Amino acid sequence: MKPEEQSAGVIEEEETAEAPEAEREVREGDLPEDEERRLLDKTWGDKPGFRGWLASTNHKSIGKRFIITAFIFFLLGGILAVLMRIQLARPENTFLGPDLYNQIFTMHGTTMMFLFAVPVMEAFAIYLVPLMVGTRNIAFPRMVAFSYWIYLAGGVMLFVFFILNTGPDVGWFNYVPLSGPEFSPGKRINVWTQLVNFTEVSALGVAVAIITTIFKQRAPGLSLHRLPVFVWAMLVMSFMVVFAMPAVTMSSVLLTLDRLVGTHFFNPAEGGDPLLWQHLFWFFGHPEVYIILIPALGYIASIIQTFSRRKVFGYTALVLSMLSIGFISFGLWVHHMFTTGLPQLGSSFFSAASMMIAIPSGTQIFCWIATLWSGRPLFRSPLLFAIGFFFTFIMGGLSGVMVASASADLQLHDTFFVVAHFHYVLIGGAVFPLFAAFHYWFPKFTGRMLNEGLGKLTFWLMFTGFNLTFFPMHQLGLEGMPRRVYTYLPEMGWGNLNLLATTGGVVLTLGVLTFIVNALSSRRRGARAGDNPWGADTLDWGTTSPPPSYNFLRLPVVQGREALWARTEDAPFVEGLRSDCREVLITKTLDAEPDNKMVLPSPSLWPLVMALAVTATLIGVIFTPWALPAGMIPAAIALIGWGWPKRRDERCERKRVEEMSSEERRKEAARAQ
Amino acid sequence: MKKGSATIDVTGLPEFAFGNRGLMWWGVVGFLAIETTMLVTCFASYFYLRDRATDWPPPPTLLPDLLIPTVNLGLLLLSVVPIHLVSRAARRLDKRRALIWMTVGITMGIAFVAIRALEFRALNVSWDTNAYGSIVWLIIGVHTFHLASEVVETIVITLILAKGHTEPKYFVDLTDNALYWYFIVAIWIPCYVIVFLAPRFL
Repeated sequence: MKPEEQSAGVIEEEETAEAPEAEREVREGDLPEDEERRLLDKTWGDKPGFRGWLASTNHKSIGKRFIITAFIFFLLGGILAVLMRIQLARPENTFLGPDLYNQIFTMHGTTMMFLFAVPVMEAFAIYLVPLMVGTRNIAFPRMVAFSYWIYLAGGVMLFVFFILNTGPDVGWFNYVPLSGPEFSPGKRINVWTQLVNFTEVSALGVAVAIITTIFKQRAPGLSLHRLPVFVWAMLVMSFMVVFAMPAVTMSSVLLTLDRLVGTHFFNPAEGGDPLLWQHLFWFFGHPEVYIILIPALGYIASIIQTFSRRKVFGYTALVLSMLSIGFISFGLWVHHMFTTGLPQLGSSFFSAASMMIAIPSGTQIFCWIATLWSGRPLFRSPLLFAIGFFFTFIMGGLSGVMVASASADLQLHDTFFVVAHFHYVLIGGAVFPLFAAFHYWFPKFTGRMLNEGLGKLTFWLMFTGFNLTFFPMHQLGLEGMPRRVYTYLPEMGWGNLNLLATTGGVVLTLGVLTFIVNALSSRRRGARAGDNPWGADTLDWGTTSPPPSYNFLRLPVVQGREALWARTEDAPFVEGLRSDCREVLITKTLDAEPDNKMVLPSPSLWPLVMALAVTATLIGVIFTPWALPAGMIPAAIALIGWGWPKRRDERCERKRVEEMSSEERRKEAARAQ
Repeated sequence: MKKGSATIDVTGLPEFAFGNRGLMWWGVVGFLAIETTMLVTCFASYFYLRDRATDWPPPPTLLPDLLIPTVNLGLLLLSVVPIHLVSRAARRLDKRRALIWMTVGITMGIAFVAIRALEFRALNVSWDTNAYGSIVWLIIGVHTFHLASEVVETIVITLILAKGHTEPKYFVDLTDNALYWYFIVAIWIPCYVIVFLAPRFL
């Protein structure tokens, strides 16, 4: 589709055709309940057909797409990992050659970090945050739709180039000078830098939408000190994205320029410095780990509270710990660079900061242990995964304390010990909580329960498989096995432990397959979930499963920190929002008092058109710098089409300024200051 | 549905609001934070590279010229006046004044972009000469990209208003756009200091 040929008329035709002539405003409470639900669904739901699907701006539709797409990338990344484990199962294996092995470990890391971990966390936020804060849709829904398309396009691009034997091949952190123009001619590295741009644009757009939703669209009564820990986690994550991701975007821009137009940022012969790459990359790369971890802490908080059947212990301590993790994580990046010859003082400072982050992390774990201890824990599959997270993440934290020491790190750097460490942290800190979240929110997403037996089986297979795979790698690292080697000699004596790790990989894979079988069969045949199968406290459980397109018939009024547990028999609700317009309630940032109302934009194909224009530009830049100015024209056209006022939306606006008397205008303006 | 004891009726609330009471303000501020971080990353890279050089700019590269960049800085600072007047008119829902000052602001913006082309020449270095050239071109390039998009954006929202879409929310857009304009001007000050003054005086 050529964006410039798409006139506004064609794209919006469906909407204008449907615009009702009735001028009468319909507000909540004007109609009988079933008629009102029909009207609300007409207002907020996706338009029918494939085109309606493409144009959707509903946070639940986009959130679901995001989650499923990220899960598919997780499976692809997992398949790549299995291929590596097969290759390493025995010494001098010839299953994969060195060049393909390089591409595969780079693709694995890149996929898992950029296409799975961050997007899936944001995806859960897109789906759940508007429900948990009690609003009808996410802020800036078109930007969120755009973020999805651009993310999908980036991921597809990466795998298409990989299939064409042009996959990046110098590791997921893409160090110069190896990735520079001199040592990596060809297009492989350009593919990597462009993928980074795709995913960062997507992540940044979503982060801004989440922050705005949390600050401005909370239901009345949901003041900040009542905000669920989950929502706090998503808020902290979004802020971290805003301040960390620009660094990696800039570093990939610099590398693209070095490779494409002959700049010298990383070229020491002309005054550049390869270490600049490492600083820029890890200034993003270390917070990135916590960008992945913090949402996971949010899932855990929800799950522990629900299944302990008591209020979470130490709410304030938990929230403050999350905030301080957010801050401290920006002061750690140099611990990835201990072997680059830093000044002694630098090493000590970053060593200390790396150890300091153990304090808030530990505080959180103690709060959860206290919650479980004093509650009446119900050991269902989500809680099992949460406990699996404790065990695994603490192990990863302990090996983290070891590598945080600059002297130990000199020995362990670039060995399998580090591979073991970060898989304990990332799989323990993100994948187990994520599977906990899948098991916990599946009933909300689909209206059906997962099979509990299969859920428990999934947990035990994944937990056993994970430890079998990665625990031996600690030992392999101590024995000196370097990471990123495609094979090793039999005399090294690493064969048995590697075989054990590969066996563990098979068990882990079986666990993931069990989950897929469970999800696919339960989606159709699972027991009906009802609104709140777990007896949870957050507002997302206060509506049907799956939630209607408009989330709530009446916006709730929150009466306590555990919104549903605190809800009284005659709980108040919000009245007077338009049911025939996409009107949302805007509340004050701190105490969530109702402040004003705003009409959110309607579904539109323009975000998709914009994503296609940007995709064409970014892919073009792999080959020629001229793609950038050329691509700006269709992108600008798409952006104007996106923002240009539509008749259908204006039906919901107040009258035009010309139609007001000057008295009226003064009054209106005064109320809006 | 049974009515609750203390139902909150929001029928009478305003349907648009300026500043941080509205959603768009938060979106603009979010992007300001992102773009500031990007430029600060560029500044940090500049000082990192400078720290590693014995001479800055490395000979035989000449120092940048000052005249045109300084004139342009003055022009950009001056553009804050019409944009502030746009913002004030918009907050009073005064379409006529808003359009007049928008036109003045846009004219200054276009003039500024045109002079910017000469500013690149005032650098006296190409991006592929050395790392110094690369980083100063980058800083100005990133700023110019934002500046040009802001000028286009301002033209578009002016056209929306001029075409008769004068519902109050478009006046809110004017004030949020003004915020972005202020950012473009404010962030240029450190860019100017770093690119044109730092090699001379620091």
